[in-house]
Amino acid sequence: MKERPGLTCREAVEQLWAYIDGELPAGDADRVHAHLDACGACSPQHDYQRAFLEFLKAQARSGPGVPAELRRRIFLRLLAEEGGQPTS
Amino acid sequence: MAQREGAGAPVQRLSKPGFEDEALPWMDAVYRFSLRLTGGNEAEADDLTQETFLRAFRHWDTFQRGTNARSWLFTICRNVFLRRRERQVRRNESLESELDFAIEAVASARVLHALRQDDPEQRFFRSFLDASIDAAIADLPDEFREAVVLSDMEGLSYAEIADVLEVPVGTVKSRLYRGRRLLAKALHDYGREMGYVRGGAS
Repeated sequence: MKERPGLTCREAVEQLWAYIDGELPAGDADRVHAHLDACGACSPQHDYQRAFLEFLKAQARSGPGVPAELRRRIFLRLLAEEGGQPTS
Repeated sequence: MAQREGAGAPVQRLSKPGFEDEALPWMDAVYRFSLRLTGGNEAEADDLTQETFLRAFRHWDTFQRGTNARSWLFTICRNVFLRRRERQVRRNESLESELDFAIEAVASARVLHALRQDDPEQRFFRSFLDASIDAAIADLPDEFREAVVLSDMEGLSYAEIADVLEVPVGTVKSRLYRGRRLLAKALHDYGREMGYVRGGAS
């Protein structure tokens, strides 16, 4: 907490989502990383924001896929679109 | 998710080169996106998915092979949806100028900070039913829901989302961070209501 190289907490938090999303340029990401290593306030905040995104991602994975019947219907529709000529 | 080869599995092949290998594998993702766009209306999502693939198929020769078919399909899907809704883009543009992604990033961090105070063990994240999260996502304003779904549920990069939504990357960030804030807030409120997390008073 004593030494926070480069970034203030405010600056780190502004970039925290982009850092977690892997969207920061390398140099900026290094600076956020260094800040997180040194800052006892921002580090747990980072962990919590990451957990929140993992929670959302897990929800997406449990989401439905295309119903088999719809998949079939779309495929048939596309076949009809190109003249319905079987290639085998 | 693996493609299902059920009873209705097609034996015929589509003749357009690459369509089956590059476009069809994204059908689950397009369907999920359609469901989110339509607020969970299955009939409308069915229709939207079908229309998306039909259009993509017709215009497959304009797709640059080897680029990102998923983003391209999401773009078509969203455009079909918007045209149907005849939603006004101008309204969104005026909204954009009011948002600053750095401010949004800090605001959303604050909401999650408050949640962390109430629930340091992250019980919150294990307590929700799918349906309540779906409802919270469905309640987000369109602009923010699209960004959250494309990023946090479908895993697109900021640049890919910018392509799909046809807005600058800075706008993607501001929408995404505000969307996360609104979603965290809604889930926090719901969590308190249901006793998943401590309220301020207890």
